[in-house]
Amino acid sequence: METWREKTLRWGFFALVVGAIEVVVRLNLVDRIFLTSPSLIAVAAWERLLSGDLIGLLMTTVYEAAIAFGIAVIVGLPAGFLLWKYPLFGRAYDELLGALFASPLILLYPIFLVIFGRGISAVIAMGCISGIIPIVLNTHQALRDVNQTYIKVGKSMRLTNGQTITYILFPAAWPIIMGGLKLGLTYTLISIIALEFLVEIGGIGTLASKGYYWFNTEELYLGVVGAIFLSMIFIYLLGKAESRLFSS
Amino acid sequence: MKNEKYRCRLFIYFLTSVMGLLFFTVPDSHGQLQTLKLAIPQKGLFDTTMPTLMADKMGFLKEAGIKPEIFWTSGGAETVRVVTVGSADIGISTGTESLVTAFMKGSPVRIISAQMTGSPELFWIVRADSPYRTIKDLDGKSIGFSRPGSSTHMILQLAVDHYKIKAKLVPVGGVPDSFTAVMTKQVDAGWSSPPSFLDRIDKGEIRIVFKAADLESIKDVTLRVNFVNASFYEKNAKLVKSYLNALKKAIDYMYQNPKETAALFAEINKFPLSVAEAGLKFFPKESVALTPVSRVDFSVDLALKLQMITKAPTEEELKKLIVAE
Amino acid sequence: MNRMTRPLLVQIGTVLFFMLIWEVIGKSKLLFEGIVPSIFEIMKAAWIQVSTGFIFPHLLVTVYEASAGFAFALFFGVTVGLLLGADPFLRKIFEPPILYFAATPKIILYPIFLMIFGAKFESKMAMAAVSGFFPIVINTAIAAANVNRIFIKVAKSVGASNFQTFTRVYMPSMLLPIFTGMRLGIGVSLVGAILGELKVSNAGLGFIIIQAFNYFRIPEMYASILLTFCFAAMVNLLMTLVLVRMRRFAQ
Repeated sequence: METWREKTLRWGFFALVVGAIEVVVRLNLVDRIFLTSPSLIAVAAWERLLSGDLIGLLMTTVYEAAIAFGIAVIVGLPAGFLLWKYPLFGRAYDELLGALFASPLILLYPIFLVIFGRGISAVIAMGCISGIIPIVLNTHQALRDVNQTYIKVGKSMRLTNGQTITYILFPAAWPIIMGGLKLGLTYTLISIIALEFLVEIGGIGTLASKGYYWFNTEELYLGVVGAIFLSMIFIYLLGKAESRLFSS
Repeated sequence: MKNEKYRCRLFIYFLTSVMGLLFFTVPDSHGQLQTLKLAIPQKGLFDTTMPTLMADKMGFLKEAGIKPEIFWTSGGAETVRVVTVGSADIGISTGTESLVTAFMKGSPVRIISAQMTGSPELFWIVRADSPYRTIKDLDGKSIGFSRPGSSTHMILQLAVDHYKIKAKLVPVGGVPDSFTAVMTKQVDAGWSSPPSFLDRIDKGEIRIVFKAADLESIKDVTLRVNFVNASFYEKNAKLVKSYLNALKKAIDYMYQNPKETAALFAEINKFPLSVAEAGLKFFPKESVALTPVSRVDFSVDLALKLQMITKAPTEEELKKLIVAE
Repeated sequence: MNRMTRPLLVQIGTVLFFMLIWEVIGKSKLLFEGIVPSIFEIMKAAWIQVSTGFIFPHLLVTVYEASAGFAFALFFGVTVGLLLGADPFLRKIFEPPILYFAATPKIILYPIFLMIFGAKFESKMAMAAVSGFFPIVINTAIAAANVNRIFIKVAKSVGASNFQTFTRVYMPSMLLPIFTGMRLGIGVSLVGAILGELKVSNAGLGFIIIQAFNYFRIPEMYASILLTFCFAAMVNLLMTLVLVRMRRFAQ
């Protein structure tokens, strides 16, 4: 557990950096077009928050991520299960998927743009593919790691397949599956924000791109900070969810 | 032993970086010719690409003591950014409103000439099997433009206001994206610039639903300009003027020798000569004239309307911005 | 032998099946023509790009950007990682934010790099550096922290200087995790450089992909993507092989 001292030191360091930026900008040491003061960024953020603009952008990103992740889970979990059930396919696809996982899928995005058009579906498709692979891989791995004894015990108690899955397999495999879900959501979010930025289709990533192109430095940094902020919140929440699910 | 291996690897990476650095920063020794870095959008588009490439081909640039180094951009404010950070000295063919905005935000830019006045070339297409014949039929439908703040955006807004229709304006990206969006029914109409897809019109796959040339209000507006990095201009005003002279010579030459122009145009874009010749017809000489830079007020209004800037530039400021004749 | 080859057959079968579906979709009127070109056309375009040497200058640019960036990432990553690993206090403060930041899309920082470094190679190097930094620093920190305390004590007790402790105790035991971090780092550095090229660039693998996309030369776009992918995969494979040999060495 972290002590308060460590937390305050960390936040203190952060505040120091922000303060330094503020001072550097105010003293006109840096061209305003490169860097604006955090206070101005905060003002811009507040204005956009009030106009509902900022919320709209963040919501778009969250919405895309939710749908992409949802599809990834709905398809991924059963896929991982099937890979476990049919070990031949399991071994074959493990390697393929492992190779895909280590490769830069985001580079495939022009393909999605071409196939789905320049819209939200391309972003969701990209996010979905990024997220589904770790989910499938981890689910498969998790099920494989389940101690065979448990399954035998289930059989000896004459459980149906459904009951075996619900009461034995899933609880035992859950930790690693959860790890896969966490990875999947992280990768999904990263891909989605990256794509929003690269192609300007909406969401918080686009704010950064637009800010850059339209010489709106406040907007640019707002987009950058917003995107980082969103990622961090997601990871934080995921961590909390993980620990809560584990202690239950 | 393991230390050695690690150090070895580190050394190899270091060496590669150094070699790479040397490879790419070998100084340019070209004697009298001075390198001029140009940022040009949309390689292949007639009005952006042709004047400079023709000037190069005919030796006008060499005569002016210029060796061009071209950085191709995908258009719009990207071109401006490339110039303001110094990766290029001169920027070509960018929306006037983008320049005004950059200037008002403190970016070091100066407009050196007009690039496109009026819009004789842009047209909007629909699928041949759609029921839309004129722009009025697009009331309540979706129409594509390239990107927010671009000239296509501006022209479309004007058209919609002028013809009093309510249409949904959708950013679709470049000409090919626009075409795909129309054909896949993502939008009802999309923008295009000649000679792209003129052959498809001939084939009857698509149809022109309206042309920017029909809009009276923009006929004398300088929609796009050429510009320069302000600090570069302070030190090299003469060079910039020489470049503009070379461009002017090239444009004169282009219109006096249409066959050669069409040939070069076709070569750059790798399409057949007939298509190139058809495309040429869309660009009357007056539209690509380098002077005058007219109706800047129009672009200022647009920048204000789109909230790119919050207040209009004063006379003083405009004088500072526009160093064109 | 049979057990070994059967998964391979499944893999090959899957790839062939996928290619078949691709061709069918391409030929059918389902999607707009040109969006799904036939595999043959893609292969042809790829062959042209390689055989005419078209792709190599761009490949070189990307590799250059990625290597330079990676060099920085390596230097800073190892340095910071050592600091954090050796000092538990610093680690407690700074490791969580680093971990959080590691999971954000670095591409969002790209406009800042563009403004500072310009539109040419340096901004892509910065992308590569930032991307590669994180796997390296994280792995190094963990490695440094896990160096067996006893060895350190022994070294100190025989009067070893800081430098000697570093080279004789820290380095050997850290080599493997650092190399694992490097392997990841090289991969993401390469991707970072390419992502930068996809937005504002004049050369490189990302550049030719986006050019093909912008000019609707779709088979060429697929071809370039395919070649890029193969290259990235090759680099990954190479690093994995190196890692395997390192593992044997470490034993």
